Amino acid sequence: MRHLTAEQLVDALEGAGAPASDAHLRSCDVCRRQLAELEALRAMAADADDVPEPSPLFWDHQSARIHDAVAADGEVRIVWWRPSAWPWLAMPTAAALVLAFALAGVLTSRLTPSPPPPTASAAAPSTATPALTADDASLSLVADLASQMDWDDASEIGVPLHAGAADEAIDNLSAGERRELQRLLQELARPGA
Amino acid sequence: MTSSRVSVADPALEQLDEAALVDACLSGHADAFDLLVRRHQRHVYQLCYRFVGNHEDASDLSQEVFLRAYRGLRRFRGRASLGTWLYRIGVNVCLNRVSVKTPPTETIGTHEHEDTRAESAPERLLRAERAVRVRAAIARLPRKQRATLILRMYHEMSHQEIAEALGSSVGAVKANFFHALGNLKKLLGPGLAEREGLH
Repeated sequence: MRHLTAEQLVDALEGAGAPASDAHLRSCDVCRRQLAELEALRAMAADADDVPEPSPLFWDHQSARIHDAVAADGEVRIVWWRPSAWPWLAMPTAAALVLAFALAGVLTSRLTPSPPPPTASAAAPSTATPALTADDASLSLVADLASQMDWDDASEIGVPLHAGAADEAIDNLSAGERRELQRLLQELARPGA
Repeated sequence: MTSSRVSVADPALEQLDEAALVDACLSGHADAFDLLVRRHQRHVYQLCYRFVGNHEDASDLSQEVFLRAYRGLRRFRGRASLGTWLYRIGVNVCLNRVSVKTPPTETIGTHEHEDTRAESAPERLLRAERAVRVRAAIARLPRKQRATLILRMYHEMSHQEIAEALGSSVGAVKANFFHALGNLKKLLGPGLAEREGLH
């Protein structure tokens, strides 16, 4: 005989058991005992509840505190990165970002030492990933920008964010993705780009 | 700087239902949010109290719940009731807080305000002792089981509402409730379980 599942027992406990469950309970000592035990535990839990009523003044005082906290919060809260909130800023911001990436790319290329002359072995076509490390200046810029995003708003649009998420994303780039990112950065850094 | 008392300036707001009040808040009517706070503050406070077991923390946490609700009001879609949505925020706020704090230890007698005149003194003492132990056991339940038990038993929320508040399925809520009661028995230990006729 199959006994009742947890879900069926909870339904029976709350008087919402299916007729089949009721029929089973009439003939099964094990399930009947388990149901009785659940009933006793539930009664014990119900009996243990105790929330003292605060002073009558508390509610007014608390709503005033919340009112003040909300007012203070509302004054400083600006969702700066959302384009709909700052339509007039969207284009200049996008341009500034592109410029920042370009500058970062130029700096990176200038700071990277020139590669040594090709050797016989190096002359062969290589599939090695170009040097683009997680501490690359241009990637740091990406991480810095990401770190300023509003977490609540990011999660609202489905971007899972947490501390270090940008660093992790950079670390997790595949070789191909890194090559492509570097190519884009270099393209941006080219004069006239 | 705390206002002495928050009064709702526009009596017409009092007539609005919750969806309309939310819209009014989003349109910049600060009074509308005050009204929502008033309508829900008792339940939110009680929820927080059941998690932390003392007035000071419950008061701070319920304030935090409303502040978060205000910040996230744009995201309230009205699929669940505002109360359920506030409970959801409340459970998250409370679970985050209690996970970094030691569960409160209570002494017998701190919560005796029920009418127990029909009971003898030893019965009252026994009942109070048992209540303290049960509350301590509930505080040690796994997070979702604890939240489920509190919402179901003390806030009389339906399984569907709890599922919405906890972001899970109705089946998972029922399973959590079942396991919460089972774990309660284990946590109470054989002594009390036997005394209460639990085998």
